[in-house]
Amino acid sequence: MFSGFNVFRVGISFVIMCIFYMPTVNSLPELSPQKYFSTLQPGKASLAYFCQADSPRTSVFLEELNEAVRPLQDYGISVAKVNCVKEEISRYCGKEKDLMKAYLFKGNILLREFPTDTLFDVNAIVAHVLFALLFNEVKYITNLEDLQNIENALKGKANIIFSYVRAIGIPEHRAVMEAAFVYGTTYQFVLTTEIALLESIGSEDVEYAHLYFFHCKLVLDLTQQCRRTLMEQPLTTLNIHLFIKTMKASLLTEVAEDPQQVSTVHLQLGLPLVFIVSQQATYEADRRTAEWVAWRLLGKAGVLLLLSAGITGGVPVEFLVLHDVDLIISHVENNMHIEEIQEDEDNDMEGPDIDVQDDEVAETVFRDRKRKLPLELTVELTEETFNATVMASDSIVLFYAGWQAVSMAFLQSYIDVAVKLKGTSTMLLTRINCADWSDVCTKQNVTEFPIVKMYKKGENPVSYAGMLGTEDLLKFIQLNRISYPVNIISIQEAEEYLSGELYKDLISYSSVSVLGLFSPTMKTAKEDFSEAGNYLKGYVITGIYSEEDVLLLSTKYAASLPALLLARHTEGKIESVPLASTHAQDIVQIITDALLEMFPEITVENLPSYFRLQKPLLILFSDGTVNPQYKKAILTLVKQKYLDSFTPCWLNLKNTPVGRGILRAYFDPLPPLPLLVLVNLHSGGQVFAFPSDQAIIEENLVLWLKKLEAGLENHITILPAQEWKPPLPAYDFLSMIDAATSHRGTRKVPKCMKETDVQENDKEQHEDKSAVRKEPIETLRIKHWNRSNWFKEAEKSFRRDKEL
Amino acid sequence: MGLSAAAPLWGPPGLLLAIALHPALSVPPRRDYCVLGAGPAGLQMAYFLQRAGRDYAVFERAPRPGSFFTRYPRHRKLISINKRYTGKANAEFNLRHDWNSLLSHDPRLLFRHYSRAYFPDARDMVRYLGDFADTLGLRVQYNTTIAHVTLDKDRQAWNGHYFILTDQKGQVHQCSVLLVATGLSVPNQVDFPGSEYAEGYESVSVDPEDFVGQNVLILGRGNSAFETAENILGVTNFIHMLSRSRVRLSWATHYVGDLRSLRLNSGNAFGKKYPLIRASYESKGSRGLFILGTASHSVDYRKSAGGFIHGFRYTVRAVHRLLEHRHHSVTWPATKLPITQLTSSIVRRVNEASGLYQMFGVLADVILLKENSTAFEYLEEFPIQMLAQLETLTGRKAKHGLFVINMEYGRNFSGPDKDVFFDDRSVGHTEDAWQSNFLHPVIYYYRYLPTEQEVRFRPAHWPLPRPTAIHHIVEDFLTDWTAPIGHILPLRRFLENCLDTDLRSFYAESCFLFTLTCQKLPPFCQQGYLRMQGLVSTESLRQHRVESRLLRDYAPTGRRLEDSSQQLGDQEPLGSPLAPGPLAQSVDSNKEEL
Repeated sequence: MFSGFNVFRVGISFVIMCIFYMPTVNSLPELSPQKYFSTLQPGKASLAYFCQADSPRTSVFLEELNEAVRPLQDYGISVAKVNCVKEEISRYCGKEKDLMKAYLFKGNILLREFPTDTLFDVNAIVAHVLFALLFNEVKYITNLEDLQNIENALKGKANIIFSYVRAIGIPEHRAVMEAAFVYGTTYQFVLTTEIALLESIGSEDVEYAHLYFFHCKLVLDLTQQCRRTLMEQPLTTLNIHLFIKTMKASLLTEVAEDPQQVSTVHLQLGLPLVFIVSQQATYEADRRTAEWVAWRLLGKAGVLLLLSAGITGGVPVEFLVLHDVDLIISHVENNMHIEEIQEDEDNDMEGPDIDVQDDEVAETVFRDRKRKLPLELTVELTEETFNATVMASDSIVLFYAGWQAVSMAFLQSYIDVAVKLKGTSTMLLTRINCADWSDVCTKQNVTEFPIVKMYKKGENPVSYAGMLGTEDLLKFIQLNRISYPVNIISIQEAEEYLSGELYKDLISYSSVSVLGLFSPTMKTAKEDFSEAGNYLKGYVITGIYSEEDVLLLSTKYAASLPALLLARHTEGKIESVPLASTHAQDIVQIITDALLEMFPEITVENLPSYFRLQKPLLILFSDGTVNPQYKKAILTLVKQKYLDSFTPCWLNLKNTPVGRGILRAYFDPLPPLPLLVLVNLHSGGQVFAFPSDQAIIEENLVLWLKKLEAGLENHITILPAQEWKPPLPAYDFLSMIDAATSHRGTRKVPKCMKETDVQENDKEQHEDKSAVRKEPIETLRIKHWNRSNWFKEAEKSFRRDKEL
Repeated sequence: MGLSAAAPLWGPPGLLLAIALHPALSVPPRRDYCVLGAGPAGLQMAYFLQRAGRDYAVFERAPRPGSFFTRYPRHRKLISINKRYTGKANAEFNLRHDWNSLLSHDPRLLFRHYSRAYFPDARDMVRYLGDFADTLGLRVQYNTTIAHVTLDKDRQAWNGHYFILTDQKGQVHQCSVLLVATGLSVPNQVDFPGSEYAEGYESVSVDPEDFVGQNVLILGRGNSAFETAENILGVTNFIHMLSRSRVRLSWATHYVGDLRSLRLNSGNAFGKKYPLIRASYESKGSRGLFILGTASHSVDYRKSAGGFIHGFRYTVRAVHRLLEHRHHSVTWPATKLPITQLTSSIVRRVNEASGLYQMFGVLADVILLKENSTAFEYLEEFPIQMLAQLETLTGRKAKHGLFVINMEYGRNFSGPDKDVFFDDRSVGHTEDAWQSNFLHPVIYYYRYLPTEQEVRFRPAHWPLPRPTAIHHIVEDFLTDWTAPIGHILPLRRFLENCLDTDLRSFYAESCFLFTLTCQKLPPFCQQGYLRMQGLVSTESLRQHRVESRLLRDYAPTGRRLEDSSQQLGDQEPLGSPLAPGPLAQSVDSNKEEL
């Protein structure tokens, strides 16, 4: 950072002289009053801190003052600590220890005195001192009128650098003062700390420091406003310097040589150069375009008009054919953005822009568009190949649309599945882009995207209805290697099936295996079960046993026929469920319910199946695996039927990091984990927290639940019940059309309009339009005004929300 | 069948038709649908009737289909383009550049298989139409000239009367619905002193030798006039061309009937040329009588392509759909989709639909919203001038608001004699989209179905009544409206603001967060995630999500979390990372809560 000041030093000779006069002294000289006053030289500034001799040798202020020695020296200002000794009584030596002050002298003349608390740090010291010294160069103003007066006075004469800082003495103020020290004679510096003033000139994000360059020198017509350029970088000395440098550079340069050979101040400052290639025939128009671009890019890039077509083709020049002038701007701005992204924190504090993507799927897919996917692992189908392919082999088809973000996000998971299955699956993974082969998709009854269908020989195509993700789709494909329900033919096979031996490679995809037990005569029951099993294919393993000796199994597992046996492989348990109703739908329901666990780990994937139960969730948030003690306590309560009206579950923050976002919504501040929370999602949205100072043991839990039931517990928060409204407004084209029509109406000839009139009006309108284009600041401001206005409204409503 | 449309429906007798009461003795063969003419429009209608399994017959004077094209254009070159390669595979899209094919399910029956020429030979059209009728087995009675059409009142009839057709042999056919697709083969007669010396386009010699060394005056400056002039240009002394209006070039007017490549059409006095019909193509005089094909051009004369194959193939389909509902209770076909598919379904159609594109301003897609805007029905290519009657014509309900998707040129920027190549004619900014000049999609939103009055007294130059809100998708030279920021995002914002909801898509992880931190969910989570069809993001997309700051990084990396919570905590309710609904709450909804 300090190297940046070199430029300054070169610029100002007397700074160098100072350095010469006073060989670099880094530490604060300590002098007696007499000695101090003897060192003062006419016309030179000096800052002195007077303190009692017996005061502590170190204090925060002294440390800061010590730090300010070096920077102030750079500006030719000496700094000293003056020890007030009894022998030499000076009027600058205060009466009391606490009332010591610092004084700024120019020669022997006292310019200002500073209470030490205004000089709270090195920035404040430098800022205040320079502010006092540059009293004439930097005009401090408090209202718009002052600004306008200055502006009017300088039109046609000089340019203005207007800045707003939140307070005097902060780093931004120092940066402005340091710049003023260098450029104060060239430009009129104007400073304010009034937020209202900043707002009145149409700035946004008024909580931040702003610096504008007012191009007043160009203005000849006194009624005209000075054009303004906002410095977009944070206010640091270096940034201001660079900014002023670019303001000084000529707006548009015309060149005829190879772009490689061209060098302007922009390149030296590390800014890009934009060459607009022009031909003789379009020179006038191109020059206008270039000028417009140059104004837009002022401070961000240099703009040059390249006249000849003699481009030799150097190395690092990027040639683009842009059909839209705005693309130049956005191209430059986007590329700059990449470099600045780390430090430029206030960028996202800008008001929301309706042209900025706020759809996370669309945005991420767009950002990822350049990554090459191993698409070759899936077969791309066309109208010609579709039928032949899905008839020839068992296939999975992904129907997607190349322009649809959700499709393209899912395509990535689909390719991941293909990577995982590579060379191991009998199922052919294919895809078809419905943006190209619309008719094929329509014929397959695909009207929305993305859709996955499975085509198996001799079967109707099945639509995949699970999560659009790698894991669930992989499970679907793997489980579909066999058809369901599996026909089990012997007791031994049934036992192998239940133990998980029979389909060892599949049980990792289905934690439960279902076996339907029927006596050979139960025809309809068997059919219904088969239908249910077929319906659930790809989601759970189902089998059927209905041999003569089925009774052996039914007695072993204490199940009266017809019945279902559920083998939970992870727990090694086998349960039996009687089949009272044998409708396929009911069986599906029984099986889906049976898949639910008593105290599951809740995840992104499985929440919907528990949410479906419409009960309040009792969630234990845990950083890592749940403590077995807690688990035991809750399972005990489940068994004792205390938790029948809830869905108890736990959340592992390691597996589901988004859980932190949830906790943050519930707690402020966040107590230590684990946390037990009851969330009434379906009615009211209240969130109750189990007191974190109590141990999670059965007795405490029971007591807490009873208090909850009795309404004695207070909720910690209520989840917001707002509807999801449009995140941002849309362009109001109807008003724009109305405005254009009424504008036109005033000019209209009262009688019928002849064709020539219409044309003239048209022409006028085009001129209007181009006029608008030439005044980008105007349009932008109108747009911004609307936007910031809207944003304020939103903020207001939000504040009200909080008050509630 | 006939009972549903019983007696009280008959209209006043048509101008063309004389009512005659037939003796009840002779009961002629009865057909539900009679089509006059086996030209492109007649065959197109026959195709739809056949596919729907209807009782129909086509009557054609000539021994083969498309007799017009055996004689016209006189110089044998069609002016309808046959662009065989568009660089795209999408069959529907490709019809935008295929002006000769009829609609069918059979890809072999595409005109590009019949001619390689960009402006094909008329003989290929004759061959094509013959194949179309034969391959599809359309029921055409050739060599049958309908000499005589009368109306027979009958309370049982669908329309309160039957159409009685008598052919040249005296054979009588009784028809419930009469579809006239005879084209405009009667030449326009001129009448002025000396007109007896004029020779009509229909009979003028096509041999340049006949004009050697002569001075020729050509009346009219349409496609036929130029076609004739070009043919004899090399051998004549002078050619004068005379007409009432200036030369209109189709690239200036966007009207295909205007001069394109200095070639054919018989553009002339409109009033005499076309019969009076409604926007539903039904005769204003006789219910049940529909005008199809070239003769139906009065609906969109000088505006759209309804007078040409590439236009009327779609209007014929629309008429067929209207008939299916009127007489067979088949509601207008529609796709019902969840609201999350709204943006996509519009993007899909505007990018590929050919009927919308060809019949801009005449046929438009209609989206009917369901209660609470959770779902919608998508109807394709409805005749928009009939919008007020949509419910009765289609059998669908429009109680909860609707969108109309129409293609339009800029309002003021094209017309005869205007310089379409003016500066700054293309619009590249989304906020200027409403000033787009080239054909671009325009979406109208109505809270209620407009009334007939509103449609009739709509603002001048508006194709539709004033909507509640309007959206223009900014023009694109390649008619590719799929740009995420330029096209899709503004469309989504428009739809969101019409429906007052959030139509963004979310990853399952975000939906999970919303489920546990908000009482309501955005439609995408509601209709996807909660139905166990959430969109799981891959690792690389998740990374982009964090970088784009649309998702806060919840990865347990200690301090970082607290930092970000401090930074954003004040601004966001409950720390939702996407600043969803709650932040953007309108003041109104807060009032409701208070």
